[in-house]
Amino acid sequence: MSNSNYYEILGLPKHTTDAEIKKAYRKLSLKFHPDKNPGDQYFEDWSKKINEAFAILGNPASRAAYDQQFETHSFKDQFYPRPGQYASSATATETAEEKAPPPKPQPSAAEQLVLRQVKDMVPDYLRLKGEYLLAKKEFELVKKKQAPAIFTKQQLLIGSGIAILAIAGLIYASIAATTRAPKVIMEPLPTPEWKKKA
Amino acid sequence: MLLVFLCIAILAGLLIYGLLTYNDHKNVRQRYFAELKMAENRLAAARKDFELLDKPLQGLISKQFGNRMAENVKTETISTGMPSELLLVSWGEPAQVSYATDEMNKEVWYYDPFTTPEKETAYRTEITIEQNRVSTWKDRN
Repeated sequence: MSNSNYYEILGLPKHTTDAEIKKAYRKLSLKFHPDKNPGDQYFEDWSKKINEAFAILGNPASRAAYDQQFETHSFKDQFYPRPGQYASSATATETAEEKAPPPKPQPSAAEQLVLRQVKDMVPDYLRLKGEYLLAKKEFELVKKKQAPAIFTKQQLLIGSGIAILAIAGLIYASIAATTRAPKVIMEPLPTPEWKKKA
Repeated sequence: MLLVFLCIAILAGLLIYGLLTYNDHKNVRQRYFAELKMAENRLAAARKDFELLDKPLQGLISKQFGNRMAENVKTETISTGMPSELLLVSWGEPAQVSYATDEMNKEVWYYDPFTTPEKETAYRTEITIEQNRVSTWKDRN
């Protein structure tokens, strides 16, 4: 019996029912069937692991024996094994194989599949994320510039000042024309000398 | 009379200057709004493309690792035990990686490079990966 955690391989908790084991096995077998991905070593390996797990867990007798070993070795911290944990909890009846260092962490098949899918998506994801962030930055830069005003504040101040002065000048000129213009007195012209003699 | 002509000339000058400036600035404003519209369209297209991949990816992560992990990946928060693939999604490719060929498959991923006063390249964050999972990290001040 290998050191693999068959429950982890099938992505199931330890206290699962036989029906759930069968269901998980069928589901994973379909997903990892080598015929679906011919020549892919990854799928072949996982297919073997799934079959091996089901061969043990699918049979109540072999499952009970495996559970006994499972209890002894306590796989619960498999992902973060502490040094010596397995050696200290091992029974005296262990074989040489069982005394070997704890197995490397084996994420469940479903988890492995998801991580593989994620890994395949990462290059495109990062490229699109980069493009999106760049576009966002560009948009914010353009927005930050703000629409230029038709007239600046300075232009408006100077222009209105000059206009007020010009209008004031016009008003002054019109007032001056009516009130300060010199009066013209119309007097009769003096009689010429030749006319007086006559 | 001279004053009247002078005032009328000033007002006419102001009017002409105003009209010319208005026309000129109107073109500048039109160019600005066209640029803004283009940037907005580029952003919308980039967001659409990104979401096409982001949504299924987040769904995949959420389904397998839970909503909390998916949220951490989205908000670029790392946690102990996070698979290295999710770290890649969250933080992107590291600037530098160093490998230690031991049983633990230990790797150190370096992020945020900067140049020290001694003209050497250093990294602000170091993340240790053991067996394809984040184990520890260190921030440099």
